[in-house]
Amino acid sequence: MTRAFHRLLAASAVFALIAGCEEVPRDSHGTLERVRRSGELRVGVTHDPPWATLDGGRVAGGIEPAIVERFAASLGVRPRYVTGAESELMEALHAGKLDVVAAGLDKTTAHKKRGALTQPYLKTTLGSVPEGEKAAPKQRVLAVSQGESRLLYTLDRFLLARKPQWRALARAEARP
Amino acid sequence: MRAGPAFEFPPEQADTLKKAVRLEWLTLAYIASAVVLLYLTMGSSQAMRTTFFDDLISLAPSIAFLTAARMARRKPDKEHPYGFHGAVSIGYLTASLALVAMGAFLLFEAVSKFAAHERTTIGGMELFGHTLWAGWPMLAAVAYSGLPTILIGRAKLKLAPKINDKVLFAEADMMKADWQVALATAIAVLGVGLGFWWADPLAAGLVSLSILHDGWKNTGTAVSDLIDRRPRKTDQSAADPLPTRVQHWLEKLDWVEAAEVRLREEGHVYFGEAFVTPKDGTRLLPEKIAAAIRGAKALDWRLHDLTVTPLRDLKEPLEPDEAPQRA
Repeated sequence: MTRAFHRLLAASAVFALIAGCEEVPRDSHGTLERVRRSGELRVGVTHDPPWATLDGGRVAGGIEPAIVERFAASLGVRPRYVTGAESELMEALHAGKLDVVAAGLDKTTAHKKRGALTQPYLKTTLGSVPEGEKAAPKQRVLAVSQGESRLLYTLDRFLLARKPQWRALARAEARP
Repeated sequence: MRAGPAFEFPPEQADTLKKAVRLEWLTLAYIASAVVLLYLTMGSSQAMRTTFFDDLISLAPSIAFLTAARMARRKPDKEHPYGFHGAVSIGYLTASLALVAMGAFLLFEAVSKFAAHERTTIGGMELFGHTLWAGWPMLAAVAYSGLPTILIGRAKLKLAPKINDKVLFAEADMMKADWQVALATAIAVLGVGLGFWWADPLAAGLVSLSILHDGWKNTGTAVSDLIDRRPRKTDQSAADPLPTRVQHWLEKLDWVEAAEVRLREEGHVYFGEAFVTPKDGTRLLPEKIAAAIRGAKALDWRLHDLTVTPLRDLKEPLEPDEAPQRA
């Protein structure tokens, strides 16, 4: 009893120490640090209105580019967009060639094993509906590179603190 | 037809069983609450997922114990002359196999996640309007699911040998070791927090292995029980001395020349046969045998039913002279 108890006590002390430092969580590959140093956030986007609208290979508008711009600004950096199909972008994200993917993902995306999904920033029926299916409300998310817990935590905090802004963006897009 | 005795436990053991049943209901309620907490906090952590399933599957032995305890007390009837004591062994086997399956499944998951290089990431979580690192609620859930089990496990470990209940013993033994699962999972969560994503599948793999090991060990014991291996102590540490005790006791009777005893376990209790050679000129043999049976049963409550067969010679062959035919 006492030995197990002492071990637990020791373990709790270690946890408390770790809890005391500001560094938790950390990135596996220091992505957030690198973004801040280089001044550039590498973002994958795909043409999928109203989430993102591309025009001639360039980002022309949409809810998610607007979110990403504001997130980058909060870090004091600028986004650099890479366009492609959702599956290509998620592979690039898994390979560490992108930091964030904003491809109109929802929580149930088939590619969720290739990226770390954020908390849902919006629940809405907005968006394309496959033929023959009803428009069901979906939890919209972004994805960051896996293993980068600091980046994910920072983005989660940013997203959750500004939900009214994202609702306003969605309302603006819903208007014809 | 003469059925076995109608009771399962003498009064003292019946009291212990009542205590154990109460503890088991407490365990069920507590584990159910821990399972909910773990589910709500687990996120994408494989170690958390493994602990969640570990807790979920640990409900199996509890349910097996409660069902078997109820079943085993039923009185023998025409259809079931040996009673329902075997229910305990069946419950034990079922719960052990459930552990094996769960352990194998979770081990497979952990290995394939690691192989696919799925790097565990723990981000934020909204709790009462604040966003905090999701690792903290995970640690709280792990502590809640891991620490009280040690105490409950210890309490059950004391009761199990008193009623010779192997399901209860195995379950208590696993619960007692549950803090190791909690610690491994906590280290995994903190490891991810410190940027070591591989700590998560590693811990998940270790916990799965321990589930698999528990299941395998207990399946072995349950199978041996069901094929009527010589009885062992409740904690499986050694052979139970009861068969030898009964034999010595019979040999000391003034009319017995030699005796042999074999016993088998039916759940909590033992059934078995004794073969004795009466001394030359023994009179009133049926009365002496009945007295011997009563006396032997008084040695230990676990000796539930005994038949005593008198033989001229213990080595006397009892096989039929011709190959038996189906009637």
